[in-house]
Amino acid sequence: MFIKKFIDAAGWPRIIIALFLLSLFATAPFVGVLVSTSLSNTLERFGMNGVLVLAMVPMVQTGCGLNFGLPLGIIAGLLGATLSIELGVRGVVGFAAAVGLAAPIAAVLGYFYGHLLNRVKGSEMMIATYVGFSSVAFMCIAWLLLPYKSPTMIWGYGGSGLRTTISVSGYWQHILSGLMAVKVGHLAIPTGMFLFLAAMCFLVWFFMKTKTGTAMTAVGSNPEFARASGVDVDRMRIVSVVLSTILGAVGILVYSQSFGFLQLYTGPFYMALPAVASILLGGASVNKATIWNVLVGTFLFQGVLTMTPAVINNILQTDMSEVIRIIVSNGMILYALTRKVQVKR
Amino acid sequence: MRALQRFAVLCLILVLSAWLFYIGREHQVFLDNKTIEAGGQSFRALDFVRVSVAGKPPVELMPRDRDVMAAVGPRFTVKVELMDEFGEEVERVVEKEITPGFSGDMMLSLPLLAAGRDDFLLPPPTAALVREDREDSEKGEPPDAIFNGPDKEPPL
Amino acid sequence: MMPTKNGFTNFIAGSAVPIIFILISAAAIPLSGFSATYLVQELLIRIGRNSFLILSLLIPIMAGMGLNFGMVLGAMAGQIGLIFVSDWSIVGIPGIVLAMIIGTPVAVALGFLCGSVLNRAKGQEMVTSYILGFFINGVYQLVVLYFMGWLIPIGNPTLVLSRGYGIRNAVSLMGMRTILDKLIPLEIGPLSIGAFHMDAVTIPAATYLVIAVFCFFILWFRRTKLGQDMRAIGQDRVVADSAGIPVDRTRVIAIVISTVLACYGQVIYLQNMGTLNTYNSHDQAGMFSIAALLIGGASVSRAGIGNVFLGVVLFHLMFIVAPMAGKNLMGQAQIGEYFRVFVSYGIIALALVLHAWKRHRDRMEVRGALRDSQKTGKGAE
Repeated sequence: MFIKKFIDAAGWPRIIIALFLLSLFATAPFVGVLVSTSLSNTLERFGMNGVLVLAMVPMVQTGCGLNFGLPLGIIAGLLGATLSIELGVRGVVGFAAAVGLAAPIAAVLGYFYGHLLNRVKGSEMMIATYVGFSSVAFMCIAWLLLPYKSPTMIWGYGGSGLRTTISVSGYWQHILSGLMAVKVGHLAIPTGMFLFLAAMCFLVWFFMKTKTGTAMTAVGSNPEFARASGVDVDRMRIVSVVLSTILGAVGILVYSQSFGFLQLYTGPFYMALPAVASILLGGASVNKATIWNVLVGTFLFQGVLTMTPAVINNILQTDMSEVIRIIVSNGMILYALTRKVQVKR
Repeated sequence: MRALQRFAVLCLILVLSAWLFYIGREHQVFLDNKTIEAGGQSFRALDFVRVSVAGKPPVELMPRDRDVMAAVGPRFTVKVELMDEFGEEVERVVEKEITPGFSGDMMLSLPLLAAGRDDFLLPPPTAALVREDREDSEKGEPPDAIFNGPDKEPPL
Repeated sequence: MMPTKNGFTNFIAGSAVPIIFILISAAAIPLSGFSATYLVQELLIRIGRNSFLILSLLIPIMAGMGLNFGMVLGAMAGQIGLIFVSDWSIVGIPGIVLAMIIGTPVAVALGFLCGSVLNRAKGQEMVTSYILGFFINGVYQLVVLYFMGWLIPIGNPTLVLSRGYGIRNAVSLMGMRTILDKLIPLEIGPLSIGAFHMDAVTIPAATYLVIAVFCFFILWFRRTKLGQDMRAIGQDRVVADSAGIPVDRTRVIAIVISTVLACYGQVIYLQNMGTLNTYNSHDQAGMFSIAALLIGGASVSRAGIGNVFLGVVLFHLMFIVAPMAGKNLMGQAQIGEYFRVFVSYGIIALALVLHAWKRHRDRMEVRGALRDSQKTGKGAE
């Protein structure tokens, strides 16, 4: 009885993927893969991507669908990061400056983006995808033309504009993931990053419990009812989009401090897809998502992504990770989109 | 009745495919001008020879040369012009029609062809050649690029 | 939106995209410094190369399924056909036709899959077909990069990566290159009209003939029973269903036809290019075709043959001149490159927004009218 309840609560896709992940961990020692190293990698990537996945929650909750427009938030984050490097502030202050500069940019972009999405109810996801793409392409031009001066960021000789990848070492590399990091043998736990992720999750959870937050959830679950009970649907949607965009900006900063590099130009193009796939893998649907979906989904998705190449490559002697990533992540999104007939208007 | 019609159309398409395969196949025709033993006799490499495959612009071969040309379709002619050693006068012309049918590449031994024998078809030297070619054309160059190099003797 | 202004607003909304494009091109052509001869010749080639692919998008739009982002599935099928044909070294017209024949069953299967998936995601067809394109791309890579040369025998070693399996990044189609384009040689010009001067240009006549046949096919198809059904479904799915039209089945057929045609389109496209970029040709096919169609003034729910040709001309005009204009204006060709990527995506975004906005507005009007007449707070639908 308990097992059946558990299966119903967790859902078959998660159980299958979890079992798959477990079997990968189980096989790992036999094919010469160190479990502790793999686990460390999984944890690191879980922390890196957590906030980006969290950025899906507000928009899903208000019925704006999956935030395929995540690149917009990422761009705000990258702008904040490059500005903070340009100012030359380092360490914790530098990271805080990056967040502080990125958040208002994200808020402004999100505000307009939210207005746009309000005019196109019912087709948000498709439009979000292309708004994301076109903003990335637009920023490609901007990165070339913006008058940045810092020598760590611009091309050395002859070229103009920013480099395609900018190292943040010396500024705020590992500022969170290195904070209070625990190391047991080969197993490293990025405590600081987890704490930050936990704090962000708590903030979102807390926000969702406030009056505005509950109104947002009401808009998502039944817009007609929400309108009838005096909630300003459009305003709630804009708030959620702004929140999602800010979280996307913070998310990419967390990602970059762990990764060690900022990826400009075409870097943010496809960053929405893994995040979307993660939250869906965690059990979210197109119009309902919780913090648990974020955490479970990110862990499973990043776990599979870390472990599959390690194990499969050792068995088959080829690198199939890219193909497996494409099939798993897009398969998850497809599954979510077709799970039931959409009753969206 | 409907099923029968569909079956007929399917068969028709299959036949058409086979026919397209038959008429559209490109064959790599290797031309080999080396002294060769056949039927207990030795046939000397030709002094200077000009060969045209399927009406294309001819190539000239000296003794021990090997070259490759492409021919399309199940039937084509090879025109071999034997020249004097200075390559000025055409001494003799041998024309031969070749019907590879469904088979792929082939190699022609020019001395045997010139002698009017029928066993001039040799197996193509693919295995050894292609391996070398592969490294060269890693960037997707057309496969026959190496043969245009300066009198390169392919390994065999 | 005021009712009196609606006619004008609709006109602007309907043709905003082509107008913007004509303006951009008008500014960029002199900046690029290309000669008229060069531009006309390039355009003639690109019309032949791309029109077929774009035309394949029309039928799903007719059936109310929006832009078929799943056309990349057809493109992949065509590429699989081409890989086999180059493996067997079949060249010329027989090679092209054979590649199409081999691609057809693959395209039908993929189209059937796509149609069935889209029937489970009604109302979200575009985003679903878009993701499906990614998903099948993964499967395609699995097959072409790992199975070919291992499970699927590939005889010609020049196609295979040096590790022994998987197809190379670039497959040369030299034996087929511009074969169809040059089948009927046709040349026009030189031409001089006032200040406009142009030297002789060649026209890929046979390709144009194929495209013309296809256009007639579409015109004829609209009149058939199936075509009428599709249009009825495109108008209103519920009404069509109650009129006894098998909605789901017809939608699947629309997608299958589109996928198969996209497969042929990709073969025609690649025979002109002369090289198959095994792992990205199909991606570009989808994005560029959709962008071109939208630039031609099509919307998500209405597109005609005229939109295809206007779109292909305007889009490729921009495509040709943008890098050069960027170089002359900013001193960097890279800016032009990025600009044209930006425009391709931006135009799709803009067209989608305009369409969704209009639909949203129409619905609001209907709702408002209902509210007025019935005096009940309940919304329409």
